[in-house]
Order: sequence, then structure tokens, then C-alpha cells
Amino acid sequence: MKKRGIAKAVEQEILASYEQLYRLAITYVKNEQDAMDVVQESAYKAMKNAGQVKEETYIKTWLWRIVINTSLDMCKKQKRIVSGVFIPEEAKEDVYKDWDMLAALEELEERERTIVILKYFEEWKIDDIADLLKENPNTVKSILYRSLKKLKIKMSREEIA
Amino acid sequence: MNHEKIDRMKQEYEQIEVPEALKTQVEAGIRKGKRDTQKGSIRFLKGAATVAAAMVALVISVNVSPTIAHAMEEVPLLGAIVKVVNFSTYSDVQDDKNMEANVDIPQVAVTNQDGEVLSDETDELNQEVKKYAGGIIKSYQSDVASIEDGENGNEAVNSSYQVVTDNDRLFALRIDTSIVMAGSNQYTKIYNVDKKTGNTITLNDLFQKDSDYLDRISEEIEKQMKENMEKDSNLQYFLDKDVDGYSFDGIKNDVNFYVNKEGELTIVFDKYEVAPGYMGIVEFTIPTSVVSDIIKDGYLQ
Repeated sequence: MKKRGIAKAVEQEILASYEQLYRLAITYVKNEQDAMDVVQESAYKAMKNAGQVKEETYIKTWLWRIVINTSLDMCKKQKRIVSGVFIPEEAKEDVYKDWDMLAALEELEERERTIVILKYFEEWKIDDIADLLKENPNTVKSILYRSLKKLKIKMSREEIA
Repeated sequence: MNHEKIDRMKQEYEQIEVPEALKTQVEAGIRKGKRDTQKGSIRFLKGAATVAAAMVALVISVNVSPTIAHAMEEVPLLGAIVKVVNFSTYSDVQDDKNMEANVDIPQVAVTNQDGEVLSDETDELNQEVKKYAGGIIKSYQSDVASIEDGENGNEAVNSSYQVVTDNDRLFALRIDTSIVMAGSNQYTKIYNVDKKTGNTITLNDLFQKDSDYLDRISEEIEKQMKENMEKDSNLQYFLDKDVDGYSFDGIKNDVNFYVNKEGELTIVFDKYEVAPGYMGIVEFTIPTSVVSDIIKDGYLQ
């Protein structure tokens, strides 16, 4: 009974957020097709393992964590394919062609970029980001501060909350 | 937050276009995930199927009666003789929905040395196979039914079979099923028959009663996973506790297995079961030395 309730909630969460999950995925894998595959595979994994989520409140962070890990897997796979096949650099950069501002995100490391996206674009609380990444909230704040500096955005430590 | 640059970035981020097809793909992923959770009949759709080079090609004579099949046997075996004697195919094509299925359902006969059909043993295995294939067909049909008019399901289901073990002691029939939607999934189910008795067996039957075969095999697999990852950074398994619930925590008795040509136990995992999807089907060969003192006589070499 309870398990079925969780599975339903997981399904709803996926359907409510798949577009956001896709946007995060594409910042990792840099192309449409792979980002779609990541979201589909994540939906599959989440539904298959929904029984393992203990409380409904954990669903959101759990689902986003699956997407991040699946994206990282996909990046590894891309590397594996690239080592055998020639892929022109432009193909990779193409994804940013319409995004002048977002291209700046490429200055950041994956982890930094994810924190910036979650905090400022998805409007997550620091504590939730810390949960998601299994980090201390203070560490998340420091990474955020460092990232903003790299992006040449002036913000005091106090403003990051 | 009054930071113009961040606001502009956010605007652009929100304008990242999401392909229309994504919704269908996500729904397909959800459907597939739900299906694989139902551990009952469908759960024994299992890991996927690369064909090892060593596999025995099986020639199927349609509708050959068991007596004739026996007459064709050149070498008498210890006890029972197991053969695939016939197969039927479920075929369905729905052009308007872009759905397709081809499921081969093999039928076996278990006979004794004199060519008499052992009907209990034969029925037992055929019933299992039929139930399994029925599960594949049923879930395909329910997918077809869930597609609304004018929409595409984009699904192709293919299921075939092969004999993967046929030595003095064991016969193993492997059913490989692939489900291609936007991505693809593959499943395997392997049936093992003890030729001494004609009975279908599971992993525990290969080992002495109350032995710790599950732990030993699991430890060996974990060891091999670690070694493989060290050797090749492109290989990856669900070993670290990164994602809740995905870490490999040992095999269960219902795991798919067969005995390879060298007489070694080979464990087969589904796509996604112990490794990311790009790893596909994953197989581990267990050196017989790991379990040599607990093997029941004659099953492994």
C-alpha cells in the first residue's frame, strides 16, 4: 500500500519535472539526443527502484541525483565513443550557439555548474543542494562563492544563503 | 536577488528548448520501469543477450516427433535427452501505431534413453516457457492498448531462443528478448535442465545443501567488478553507494546462469541490473576453484 503510494509520487515527480531534468542533463552531455536518453533512463531507474525510497520528501533529491549520475555515465560513454570515432569540436560547442550568457557556465567545473544551476535557476535551498550532493552546506556555499567569482559576478559571502 | 547577470542567465536557461518527443520517451521509461518492478512473472524476463561464440547452434526440426528425434541421436546420454522439437511465433505489426512484436516460443521434449517422452518433465518446462513468453506478449499488448489514436508507440519487441549448454549433464535453453523503444532494453531468461533427471534446476541445485554458494559467487563477482574497473576506466558497475539502491549487494538464487563450454558457471545480469545502461548485458564467469569444495558432483568442471 505504502509502496504503491511512493511509486505514484515518483511518477508524478518525474512527469512534473522532466523538462527541468532535461535542462540539467544537457549542461552535462551537451547534446539533445544524449540528454533525452539520460532523462529516459533516469525515469526508468527511478520507477524501477521507487520501492527503495523511504519517504516522499526524499523523492525530489533522489530523482535529481539519479539524473546527475546518469549524466556522468553518459559522459563516460561519450568519451569511450569519441576515442574510436572522430567528432569535430564544433559539434560540441554548437549547443551554446543561442546562449550567449549560458556559455559562461563552461568556465565552471561540473560540480560548480550544477550548484549554480540549482541555486539560481531552479531556486533550491542550500540545504537541499547539500543533501543532493551529500555535502556539508558550508562546502556548498564556498563552492557557490568561488563559482560566482569565476563568472565575474560580484556577490558577498553574506548574500549567499 | 538583484543580480542582472544571473537573471539574464536564468532567462536563457529557461529558454533551453525541450524536444517534443521527450514526453513520449519519459512515459516509455516510466512504463518500462514499472514493468521491471513487478517482480512476479515479468521479473523473470532477465538480463540481456550477447551471443558467445562458443554457443551451440541449434537446428530446429519443426514438428519432428520425439521418437524420430531420438532416432537421430547418435550418442546415448546418461539419462534424459532434451531437445527443442518445435516452436511457435507470435507476430504482430501495427503500422499506424508503429508497434511491432516477434516472439518465438520454443517447445522442448524431454525423453528417456528409449525415446519415451517424460511427460511431467516436458510439461513442466514447456509451461514455464509459455508463461514467460505470455508475459512478454501481454505487456506488449498492454503497451499497444495504452497508445491513443494518432500517437506512435515506437516499440519493437523481439524474442528468440538458443541452447547455451548441452553437455553430458546439463541442457540450458536461453531466451533473449529485446525491447526497443526510444532507447533499448534487453532481457534474458535461461532454463537449465538436469539431464540425469530431466528436471529444471536452479542455481542452488548445483551446490551442496546449506553451502554458502551465494556469498562466494557474489564475492567473486564483486572482485571481478573491481578488477575490471581498475584495468579499464570505461567499465563501470554499480558498486559504490553513490545512488541509493543501485549498489550491487550480491546475487540471489533466481539469477540467470549457464554452464559454459569449459564447464564453468557463468552468471548473466540484465541491462541496468548491475551496471549503467551503456554496459549492456553483463556476464561473469566464476572460476570453478572458487566453489570446488561445495559443487555437487558432475555439474561444474
